[in-house]
Order: sequence, then structure tokens, then C-alpha cells
Amino acid sequence: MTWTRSNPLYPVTDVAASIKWYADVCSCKATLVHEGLHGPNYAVLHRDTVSIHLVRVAEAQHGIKPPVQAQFWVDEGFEEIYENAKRLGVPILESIEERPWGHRDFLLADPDGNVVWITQVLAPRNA
Amino acid sequence: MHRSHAALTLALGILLSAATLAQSPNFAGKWARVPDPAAQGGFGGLGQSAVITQDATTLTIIRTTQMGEVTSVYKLDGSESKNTLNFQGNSIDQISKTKWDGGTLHVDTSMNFDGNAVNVTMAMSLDASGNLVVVSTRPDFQGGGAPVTTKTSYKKAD
Repeated sequence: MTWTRSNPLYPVTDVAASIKWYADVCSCKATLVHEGLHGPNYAVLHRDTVSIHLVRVAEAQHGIKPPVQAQFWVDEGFEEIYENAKRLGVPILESIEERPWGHRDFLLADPDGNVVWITQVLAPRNA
Repeated sequence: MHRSHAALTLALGILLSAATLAQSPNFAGKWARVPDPAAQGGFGGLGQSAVITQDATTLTIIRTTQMGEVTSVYKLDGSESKNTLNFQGNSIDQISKTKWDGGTLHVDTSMNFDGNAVNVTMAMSLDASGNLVVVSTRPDFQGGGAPVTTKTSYKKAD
């Protein structure tokens, strides 16, 4: 048995505003937007092979509430995402940091405090 | 004999079509949601308000949403209608088919959900007091639960 993919579900107050935030900060595009009585209440966003689901927190099932944290792996554009986030005034929870296990990462907060954890694998030092 | 049978069939067909059209309610107008304190959540429906125009071949719904004014045009002859939601650089296609069942218009819409098609449905009818009743059903996007159905009523706003 092979597990093939994973995607986070972020509970958000305003799905429309969050679609814009993820587009501006992470260059994600919405591929599904479901509208409810109070505007969009569910959306699926994509960037490359990654998808992120957004649910209106007032309508989220299973008691899901922000903040939720998810980790995303990028192979290029790592600094660009960080600089773009800084330029847009996005709260940066942790600046770029190299980890002893061979990663570098930084953490952003979306408008609801959900944590977007951007990670890149570093080239082996002794290769 | 043959000709008269064909003429009779044609006449019956015309009568049936006319009867169907005569039964079909007209949803045209400006509609505002009837508040329902008991309603949980807010999936489906036409949002808080909508403007509907309708003729013999199409039903057009215009809603003012957080994504701007959203217009959906549905063909009433049962053929596919494609509506594209353009929103902040996103372009999301929705394919719908309609079907009359007495005084109820069923709108079945297919959307792309992570590469697979999912369907949401909407049944529109007028109740005894002339309110527009919209029953919406969507999948449980958050898991494998039963479809979620919401009934929403709208009152003529003009």
C-alpha cells in the first residue's frame, strides 16, 4: 500500500479573503469554490502538485478551529516566497532558519493564524 | 391513415410541451433570503439575495457575493450550461444541466474537486405563499459523510 498525497484543511473566517491571501502570498490558484449563504464556504487551492483546502470556520465539521499548521516542501523559489511575504506584511512566526537535519524553513501566519510552514531540503554538506 | 397518425402524434407532442411550459413556474424577480434562526451553517442556496430572470429557454441568476457579482445562466432545455466563475485571477468552470419535475426546477452542477468531478444539486420551486424555496445538496467536502442538504426560502424583494 502506498500513500500518495496529503493536503491540509485550513479553517478560515473568510474563505474569499483567504483565497486572495493564498494567491498573493503562495501563488495558489482556486480550482473549486463552493458558495453558501454567507459567501464561499469551501475552496480547493492548487499550486503545482500541492493542494490546500479552506473551510469557513463557522461551518467546519469535527470542531476544527484555527490555528492549524501544515508543512509545504519547495525545491525552488524558497527565498522569493519569504521576501514576498515580508513585502506584503505577512506575520512571520519564524524567520529562515537552517536545521541540523538538513532542512531550512520559515513559518508564516495566514489571516486566521493558521501556520504555513515552508521548507526546503538543503544539499548534503559532505556530498 | 399513416399521415393522420403522424399528425396526431405531432399534435400530442405540441400539447404536452405546452402543458409542461404552462406548469413551469416563473422564478423571475428580486429575492431576499427569509431569515431562519434554526438554520445551521450556510451551505448552498442562492446566498443572501439574488435577481432571477427567466424566459422560455434560460434561467439567469445574478448574485452579489464576496467575489463580486456572479451570474449563472442555465439552459432550460436539458442541455449542458457552462458557467465560469472568474475570481481574483481564478477561472473555475461549472457544468450544469436542468430538468423540470412538475413545478420544481432541478439544477445539477458538476465541479472539479482535486481532479475529480463532484456534483452539487439545487431544486427550485415556489411554495403556497409564493416564496422561492431552494433545496441544495452538496457532498461532505470534509470527509466521507452523507451529502449535506440545506433548504432556504426567499421572499420577493420588490
